[in-house]
Amino acid sequence: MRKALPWLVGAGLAAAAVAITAATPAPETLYTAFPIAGSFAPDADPQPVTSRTLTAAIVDASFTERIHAGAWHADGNWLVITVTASAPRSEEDSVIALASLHVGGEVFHASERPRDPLLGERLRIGIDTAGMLAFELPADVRGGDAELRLSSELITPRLDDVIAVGLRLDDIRTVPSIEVEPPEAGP
Amino acid sequence: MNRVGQAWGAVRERAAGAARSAVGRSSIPFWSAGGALAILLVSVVALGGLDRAEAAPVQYDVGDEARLSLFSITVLDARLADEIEEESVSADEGEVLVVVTARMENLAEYPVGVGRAVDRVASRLVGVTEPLLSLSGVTPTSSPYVWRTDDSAGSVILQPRVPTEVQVVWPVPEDAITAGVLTLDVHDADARRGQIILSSDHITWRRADLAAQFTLDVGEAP
Repeated sequence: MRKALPWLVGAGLAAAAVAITAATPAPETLYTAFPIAGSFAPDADPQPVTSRTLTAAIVDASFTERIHAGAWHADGNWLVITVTASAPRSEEDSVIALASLHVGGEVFHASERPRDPLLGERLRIGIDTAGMLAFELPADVRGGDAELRLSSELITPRLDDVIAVGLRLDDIRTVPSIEVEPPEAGP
Repeated sequence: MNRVGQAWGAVRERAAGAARSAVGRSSIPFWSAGGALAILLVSVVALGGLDRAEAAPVQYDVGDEARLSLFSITVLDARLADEIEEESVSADEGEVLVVVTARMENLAEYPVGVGRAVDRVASRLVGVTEPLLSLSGVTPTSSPYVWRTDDSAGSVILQPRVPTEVQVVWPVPEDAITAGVLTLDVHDADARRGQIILSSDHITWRRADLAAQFTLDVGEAP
């Protein structure tokens, strides 16, 4: 018994060390953003969610094979999301600078290719600006659960709000083509 | 004197004992382990295990696809130009533009910019010291220009698994092009998370081995 005791104590300490290491959060979780969750369903009323710098809702989403913006067009598997957004408290920093779509472990940014996207548009207090975000996706991304994240800085914020709206890609309709309209403020 | 003699005797006795035990039955495990190690070492050396780890780059021509660990590139066309009117870019005196059109695909699960960093990810493909894409033996006179060939807006971002046609334009000294043939060096990359002063959510595509070389037949300067 006296011989076994140090071994038992040693094994216990090692197990405790493993448990503490496993339970310690990764360093990056100290800085992650705070998701402000919303949801979108094609036939339901849009439900705006408000973060520190943005109030936003998805009002429409469609898949298409071709998008146009004036004379320019591009083919591919495009998911075009129409968003209304406004400034909740201050117009100073109220802008959608980064829009990303998280699907099945992959991250896509709203495409820089069409001119006049909603990205970078100054938002107003109490006046909705409607605009489009176009995501260029691989051909096999047509279903599953996705999350649209909107934030006001060019990089994913740390310790700040991020709007995270969930949407089911299976429910989203497909249309032959979409004209990407410039953002427009007003009712 | 006598002490020295005694000590010498003791040493001789020990040496004899050691010799006996070195060939004795009890030393069999020692010799077999040593023999196994020697065989292992010889086979490692014979199979090239101690050579410098440096894979020869795979040679490609225009039209071939080089698939690396984080991205793939297919060179579609390479030529020399004095100016590219649509993008309002022209070569300075004594310079020529090397225009490489390629289809690129990002094999990572996050977007990367070709000429710039996006959302804490630096791809370092072009326009940095030690870029992943460079012209072999030629020093460009300034950072290359990068754009899409289809009049899209914005600087080029490669979304995951979406092949994209990109044009990269290097301004180079005219006398750097002698035989009308250039080589595009393509380095593989490791995605490193974090750096000494940056936190772990930064990703940098750090240059690794020279994995592929494209032979570009660019012809004479215009």
